[in-house]
Amino acid sequence: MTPVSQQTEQEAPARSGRSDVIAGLLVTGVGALLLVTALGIGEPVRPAPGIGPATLPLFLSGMLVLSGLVLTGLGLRRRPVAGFEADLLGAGDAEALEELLHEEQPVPWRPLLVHIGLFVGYALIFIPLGYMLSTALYLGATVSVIDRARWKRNLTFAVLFAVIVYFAFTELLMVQLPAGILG
Amino acid sequence: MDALTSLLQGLASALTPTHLMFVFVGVLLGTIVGVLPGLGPITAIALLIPLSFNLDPTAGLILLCGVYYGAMYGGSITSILIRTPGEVASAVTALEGYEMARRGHAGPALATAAVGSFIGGTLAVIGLVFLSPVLVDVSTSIGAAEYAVLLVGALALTTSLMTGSRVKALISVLVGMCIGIIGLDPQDSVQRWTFGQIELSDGIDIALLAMALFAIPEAMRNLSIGDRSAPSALTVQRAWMNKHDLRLSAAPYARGTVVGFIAGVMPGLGPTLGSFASYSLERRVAKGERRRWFGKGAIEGVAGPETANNAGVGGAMVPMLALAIPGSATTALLLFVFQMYGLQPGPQLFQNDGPLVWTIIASMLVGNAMLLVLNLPMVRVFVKLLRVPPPLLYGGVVAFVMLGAYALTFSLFSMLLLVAIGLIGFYLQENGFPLTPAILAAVLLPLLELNLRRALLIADGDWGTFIDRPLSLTFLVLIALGVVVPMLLQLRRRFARPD
Repeated sequence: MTPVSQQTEQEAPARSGRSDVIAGLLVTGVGALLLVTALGIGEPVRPAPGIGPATLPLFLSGMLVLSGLVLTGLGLRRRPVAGFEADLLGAGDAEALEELLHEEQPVPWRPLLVHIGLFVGYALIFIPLGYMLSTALYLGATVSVIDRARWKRNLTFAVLFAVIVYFAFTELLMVQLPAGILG
Repeated sequence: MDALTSLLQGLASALTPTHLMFVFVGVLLGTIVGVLPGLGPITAIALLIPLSFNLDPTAGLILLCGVYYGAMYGGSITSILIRTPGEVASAVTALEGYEMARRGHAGPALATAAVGSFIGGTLAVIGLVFLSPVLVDVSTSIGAAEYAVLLVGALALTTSLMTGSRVKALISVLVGMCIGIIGLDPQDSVQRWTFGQIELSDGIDIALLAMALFAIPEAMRNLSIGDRSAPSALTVQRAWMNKHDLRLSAAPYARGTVVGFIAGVMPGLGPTLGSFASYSLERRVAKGERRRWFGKGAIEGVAGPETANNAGVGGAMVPMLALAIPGSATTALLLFVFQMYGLQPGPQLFQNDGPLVWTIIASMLVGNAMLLVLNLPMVRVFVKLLRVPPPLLYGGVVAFVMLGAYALTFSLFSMLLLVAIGLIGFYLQENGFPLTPAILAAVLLPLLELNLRRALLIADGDWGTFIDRPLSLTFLVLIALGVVVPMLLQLRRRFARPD
């Protein structure tokens, strides 16, 4: 375990520093957008004392802008920030815990885009094609992208899942699901 | 005596065949969900919400609570056998539990986790039984101002005692609160942050938020990484321990219960903090030869935390039921479910819906007993679940969650919202932002705003009321300590280490 934790110590500050800067800027940007929108929140018919509909939105978006800036600043200084668990557990255990909780393995972006695409597609075909067909398609595609070799298993799983869940929900649990083009 | 009588009546109701069935299904689902990585109690409860619309409130709540503490049992199984926590509160168990399993002691590890969970869970319910009426009495002197301060306190404590970066936890809380604002202002009917979308007038459904934030990021991550088969779990013959193990576990059970219960009761924290604190405590109290075992499979390091996380569930239910202040993110979701059924936790709950509440509390005792039976002899059945190939598992999770999103409004809009929030959640999680504070914040925001408004109405717009009222001031000071002390500890640590 020692080599991995040494690796963790060397890599973590640089990677988290840059991503923190980006994240911080994004948060600041979103906060600013929300702040500007909040300024447009209308006045109530009967104003309440001390607090109005825009009070919390303004406060929260302001805080977002501030925290985004702080995060950006911390990211630029490249200091890895440890949480309370480091105080409670001591450095060695806290690192082990960090490893457990926040896997260091980066997500490969090409498969990620594919799966995001499948996810969005699933949402779009859900109603028009109906639950069974859209779910079978989604599951079949998703699993095949990862493990094309076991296509028989994939197909069986996709179809069985879609059919069983459809009937379980519509007949047993009385939840209406779209039948789409099969209905 | 009154509490005891109510509990016995609740027990009579909980032991009816229908309710027993719901307890069983709940704890079974909870264990399964706890075992499966990538699914946690929050996701499971969120998914069950659309289904439990049609159930009668008692049955629905029994089911969902069962899922919550069941997951604490299941989560330990993966922690011990594959060093991957099934859910966060069981993460510490992996530190010693996996080491025990590697040395061929998986059986005792699992056994002590199950027994500890039972002890912690049961004693916490007893604590809940006696503490709730006390809190309900106290709550009569809690006005809107104090209540608002307590809610802020829950959020502040979550931020300051979260794992990882505090700034990111704060941002997570803020994001959650902003999401909670979206929709029509409840008092003045003014559109807030709806950007012209009518469908957003009612705000974003908490169940949807939970599904999007807790299921989608894990699913997208694991699908993209593309492991074809599940990580191999260490084998276990049976979950059993001998007298020696039991003797070593006894004191950790006791300490774990106390630590876990207290951590659970404190608003906003919950079982996770309890398990960390327990591990730290066990390490510190270990004497002589036992101390050297830590890091190599010390059974105390499993017994304590596992007891603590289950005690934390009972503890977290205390402020939720008595004061409507969630003790944890999952309890925040349960609070939402209560409201969905038209029930308002707090003093009125015990007065108006006494039988329902006591049945639910009693069902927790029944559930914990069932879980002990399920987890000791039947551990190997649950272990088989670990062999589900990840593509099938995570594909199935997405399919379920999409179904859940659809079932909320029967429209494309919720599904697209699921996708959008899910992807935002994915980005946040990948960059080290904790997501549990966001859910807590989103659930609490409406309550917070309501109480702020009330408090200011009573005080005629004077924000000084929060400091003028003695109880409110006391809470503020305690919260400030809760935020400042950990920061000071961290500074001290940083200066102590030659960096």
